[in-house]
Amino acid sequence: MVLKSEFRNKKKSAIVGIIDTETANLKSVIYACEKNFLKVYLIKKHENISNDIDGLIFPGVGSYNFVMEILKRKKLDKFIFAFLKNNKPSLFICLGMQLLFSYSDEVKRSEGLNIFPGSVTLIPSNEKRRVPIIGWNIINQKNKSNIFFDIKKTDTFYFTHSFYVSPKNKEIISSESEYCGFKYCSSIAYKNIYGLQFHPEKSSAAGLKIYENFRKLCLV
Amino acid sequence: MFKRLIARLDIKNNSLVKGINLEGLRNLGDPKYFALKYYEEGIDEIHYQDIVASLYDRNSIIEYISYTAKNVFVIISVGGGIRNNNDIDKVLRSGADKISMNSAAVKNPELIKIASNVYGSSTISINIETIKTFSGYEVLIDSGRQKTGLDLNKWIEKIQKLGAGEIIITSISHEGKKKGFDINLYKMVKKYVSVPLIAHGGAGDIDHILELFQTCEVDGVALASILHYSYLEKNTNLDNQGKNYFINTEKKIHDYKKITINKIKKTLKKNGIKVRI
Repeated sequence: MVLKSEFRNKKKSAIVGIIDTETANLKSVIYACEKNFLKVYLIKKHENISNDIDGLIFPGVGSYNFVMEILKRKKLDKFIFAFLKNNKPSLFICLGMQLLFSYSDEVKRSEGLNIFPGSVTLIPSNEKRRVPIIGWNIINQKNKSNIFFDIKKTDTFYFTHSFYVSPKNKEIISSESEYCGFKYCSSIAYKNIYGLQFHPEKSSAAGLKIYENFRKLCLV
Repeated sequence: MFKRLIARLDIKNNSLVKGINLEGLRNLGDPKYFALKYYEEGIDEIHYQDIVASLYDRNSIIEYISYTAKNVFVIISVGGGIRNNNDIDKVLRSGADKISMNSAAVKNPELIKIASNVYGSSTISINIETIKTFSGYEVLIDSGRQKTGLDLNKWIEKIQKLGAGEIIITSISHEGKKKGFDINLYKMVKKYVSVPLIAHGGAGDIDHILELFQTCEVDGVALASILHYSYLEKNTNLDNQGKNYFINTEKKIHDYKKITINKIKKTLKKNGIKVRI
């Protein structure tokens, strides 16, 4: 981790800000960044550092409305809006991606960041289709996204979720995955905003490649 | 979806241990070595279980979690001695991704609801230790030491309502025996389980794992003995001399086969089971 004062001296390697909502598996994300030579700065509240970081990661573990309330309380929602304006790369993981949408029905109907119109709903379960989805799956890439550079069709990623996103604008869907006959959006890409339903930091070598791709995007 | 192979590492007083029917523990060495080795060999998940956590101070496991999280980029789940959200927080903050509860959940089922509301269902798995009785299966706690009088099926239904995201069922009578899984048990629970199900207890050979996946609808399997004895190496650390004694004598006598993770996965794949290679 780096201190804010060290920032400008270390501009040669990419510095990534990670949103800390205090419910996420932050350590795994930090270690995956460090493994790929990304320096990490934790963002715990709204602060004026958008110019000092090269990219933003919002890892998500936790429940929708609980995390959303934390974002609002710490004005982290305002920070995210401000950061996205400067078009630097940002990576939203799992719940992080879900929070980009309008609302979710997890626990109770709660509003998200509403950056993309669309809903977050429970995966319909049946006798064969057990929910939550927990485990490894492949992704079918829809369009060439920079974040998937060098990712093969056979590469597997780790998923753990009960809800899925339905973007209103289908163009932003960068991959779909299928679970027991149920097809859903497993990642999105719009300009420099990337969202992944799976956890790259938990997806072995293929997942680490995504962090490496993100580092490259940060250095552009 | 791919079937998961989970390496289960039982920890007691800084050592990886393995028993039979959850008893008669044998010291096998440094848990960190095994976790890293399994990751390099392609395991899908690491499960650390602090088996004496409810009896002693449980700080030591935190050190293993952070070391492992720095070097291992697959899911790390942790069980043992988790009693409240503070414990969960501590474990997740040190690098774990998922927690599992057993005794605490039986003593206070509301805990499952409280935890899943904060951390999400998929972070909370419930470990059930069970044994066959004349009327069905009974739930046990404290590493199989304590009876509860709870019926397995009723318990499964209850924890799912409260928000359990995954269920690991350990068959105590098969655990550590390496003679195959309690197939009837996993077939029987099928109609009660609506979340991912992990089978634990009995893997001694690849055929056992294949039989499990071919006959039961389980999402993953927790492996211990079959891996530990295959990856066991001589340890020069004097604290672990007991383990060397075991390697030098018993291992030769019983002729333990080396069954690698890759070999297991290749055999499963060849037989039509979807696994990640």
